[in-house]
Amino acid sequence: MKQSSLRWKLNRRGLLIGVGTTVAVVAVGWVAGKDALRRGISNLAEGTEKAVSRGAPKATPTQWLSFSADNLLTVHVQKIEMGQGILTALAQIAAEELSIPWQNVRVEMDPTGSAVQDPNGTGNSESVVSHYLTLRTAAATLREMLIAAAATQLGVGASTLTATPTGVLSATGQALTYGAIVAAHSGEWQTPKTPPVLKNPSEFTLIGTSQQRLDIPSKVNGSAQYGHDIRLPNMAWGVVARPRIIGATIATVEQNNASSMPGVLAVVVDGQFVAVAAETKAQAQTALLAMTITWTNPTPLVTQEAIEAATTVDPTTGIQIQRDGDAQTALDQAKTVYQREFRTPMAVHAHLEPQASVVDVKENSVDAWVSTQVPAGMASAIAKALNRDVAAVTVHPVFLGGGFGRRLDQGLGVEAARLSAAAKRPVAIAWSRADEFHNGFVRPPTHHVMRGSLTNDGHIEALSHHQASGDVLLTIFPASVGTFLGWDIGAVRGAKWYYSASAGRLMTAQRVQLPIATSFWRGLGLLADGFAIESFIDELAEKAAIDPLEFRLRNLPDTEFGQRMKNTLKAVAALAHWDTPPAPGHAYGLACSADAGTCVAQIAEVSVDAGQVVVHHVYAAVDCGQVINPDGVIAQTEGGIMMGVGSTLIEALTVVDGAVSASNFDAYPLLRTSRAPDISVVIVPSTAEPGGMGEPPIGPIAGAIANAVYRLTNVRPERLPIVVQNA
Amino acid sequence: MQLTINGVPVTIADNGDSRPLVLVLRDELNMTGTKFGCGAGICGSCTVHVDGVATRACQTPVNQLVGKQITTIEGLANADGTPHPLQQAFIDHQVPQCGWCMSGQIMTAAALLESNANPSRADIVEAMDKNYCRCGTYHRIRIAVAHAASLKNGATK
Repeated sequence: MKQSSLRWKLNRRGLLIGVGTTVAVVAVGWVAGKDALRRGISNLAEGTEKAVSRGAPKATPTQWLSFSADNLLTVHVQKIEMGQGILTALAQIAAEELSIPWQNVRVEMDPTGSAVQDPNGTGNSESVVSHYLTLRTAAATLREMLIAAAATQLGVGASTLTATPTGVLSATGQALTYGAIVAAHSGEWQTPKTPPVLKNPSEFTLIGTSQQRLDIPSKVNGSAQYGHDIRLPNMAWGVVARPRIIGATIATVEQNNASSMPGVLAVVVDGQFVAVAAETKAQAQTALLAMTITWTNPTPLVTQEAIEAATTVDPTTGIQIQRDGDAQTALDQAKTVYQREFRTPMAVHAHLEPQASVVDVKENSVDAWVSTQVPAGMASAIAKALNRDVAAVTVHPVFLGGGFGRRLDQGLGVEAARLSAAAKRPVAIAWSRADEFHNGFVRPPTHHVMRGSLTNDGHIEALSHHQASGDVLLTIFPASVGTFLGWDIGAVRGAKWYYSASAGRLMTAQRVQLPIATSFWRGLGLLADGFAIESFIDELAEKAAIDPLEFRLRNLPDTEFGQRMKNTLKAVAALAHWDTPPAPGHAYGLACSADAGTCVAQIAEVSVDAGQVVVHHVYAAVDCGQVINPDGVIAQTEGGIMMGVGSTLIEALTVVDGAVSASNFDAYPLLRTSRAPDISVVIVPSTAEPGGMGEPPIGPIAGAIANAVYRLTNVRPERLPIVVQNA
Repeated sequence: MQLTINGVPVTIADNGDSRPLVLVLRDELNMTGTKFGCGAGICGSCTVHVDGVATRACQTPVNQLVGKQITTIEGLANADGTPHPLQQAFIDHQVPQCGWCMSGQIMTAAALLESNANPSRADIVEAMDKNYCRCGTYHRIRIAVAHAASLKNGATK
């Protein structure tokens, strides 16, 4: 694995600091090319053992960090806060090397067009991974620059000055605050010739501490601004005609008297884009309903049966993603081969803030507030749609009321931009819940065929995992990329074997192109793959008549990664008192997974009551390498577990009569507090580089619950959500 | 039509219709602290108080609210501007993640504590079961509501 490489490059903008891209692939279409994809394929294995980062933006220390005259440090980033605590974590990283007192630290999500330009957006559990070295180096460099400037201002040698938490102190006791140094500075900054020495982690005072999140006060008093909350003077409202039938296209449009109806400002009929802008949302909706729109439905209509049939493993067509030894031959020759199949359904993101955008198209500039995880991509998309220079488009970041991968597409801002251009007013488009269900994209369904054999001494001999999945990442690439690659990188997150097998291991991925839009969902393939792998490993442990914990410890490799995972398993076993039976009628289920450089192990304490699975408590251990904010790690672990519990117990999106069967939460309920477990989390001390935290904790949960259900019912769950036949 | 929101009289257009309170608050009065989640009375994101009772603003036509006291998240803080015990407890326990559901969670919990000063865990679960949190902060919400009850009781003793 290539190490993250720090760019130390002087150019006309100054000294640009940013961690170079190690692997460009996990990336999403707007940055990756064919070569990056090819490179990424060979590096994909590191996705579990090491975070796969697309790198950080390149900017100068004074662009990353600014001091106000009253000596407050502001950290400038273009990562989007959607509840993962990223702004606070990045601020901690940056403030650490300057030893700034936490109460003097601020952080801003900068708009597009600012110095810090992040083309990658926010996702893939990589914000800390990509910014950790970058922000520390920028801060340490800035410290040297501030000392040099202070030396000039004081007329003394830089070597006589020392940095303090508030500024610079001279040998004679003269003190200058950082804010004062910046205010008095003129001309070019002197940049050090070589990278500064960074703190040893043992010296950290901010990194590794549970600072309170900077965004939370605004989220308990209603003042936090999300995309759905943006209100501009003179703002109009837009509505867009959207199909209910999957794949339906607009055939004919008769505007009737829509454009002369009360409040209507613009009616746009342009191919498949039919939309109205009006003074109020209700007026826009009324005008759209007054139009006669006919739709062409696909023939045949999309059916649930067709989706499931297509999402079925054909062992002859999958592309080999992992192959060592000769698992196939070993399995063919084994005396006993264990086999089991698993399926996971489609699911929606159900972020509670529906999508929204406000765009103000003016003569020479465009301002947009869009609930997006990718402001830079959104600016490009709006510019392209309006035929403007991207420099004329500013996308202002807003808080997201949940992301979970849903807010990576770019149509949203384009719709409001087109209506604003037509109405010559700022236009807001706020999606309804029905819009979300019918016009979003879904987590793809998966099918897994697992085979395995054992040695006589309780080790794994051979393993194979054939997976079929709807597209995840490929849906946002040009079609040629999918044709070239033939398999979906996102679908195999967590799909490869991390257990050893003496004779060989095989994992194949089979791409399924479905007629319903599928794409990113928290963890991509991780939840489904964790369910299949950890259920099957549990079955092998049972067949070997070995305790599930002991079996995992015995069959994980003796690599650095294997050791981390074993430590994580031992930590969760200690936390849950694995060796002591749970309450009568309850059972423990164990599972683990690795993703984005983070190891997670979980034990679910479960009972079955009148056919309903009850998850009482989930214990979790996490090794995410160097921790930035322990409470943030715990919160992400809790959140990933809860979202996974919902998928394991409740959620499945189905298609009926050619349409998504749910229009609201009555037909697609989410987990509520009465079925939400208590959660205990322990963080495993680690000297590894920081790993991701947004997605990894969702990996083991379905397997942990399923394994507990098996202990209670003697029936191994093969599908999510788990349904227990009432005895 | 005149409404009383957070103790302040507010005049809105009387169209003779039954606009839901959530849209009047958010789209007409620019009071966006009350959130829209489902529009069907299921998720609880839009919960406000009407005469002290937790109420779904998306299911409540404004023409039923004349003469009643409406309280939103913007009006929940103590008279001296300090956070309501629930707001403080949600900060202390670092409850919100994305935060979109939090106005509704806090308003639901505040109504619970008004009617039940010492809620049991079962009482808290029953009351809070009306509110979705997609980020999965349920565990912390239960702890924070219980803590807020103790804060509130401490303050009144």
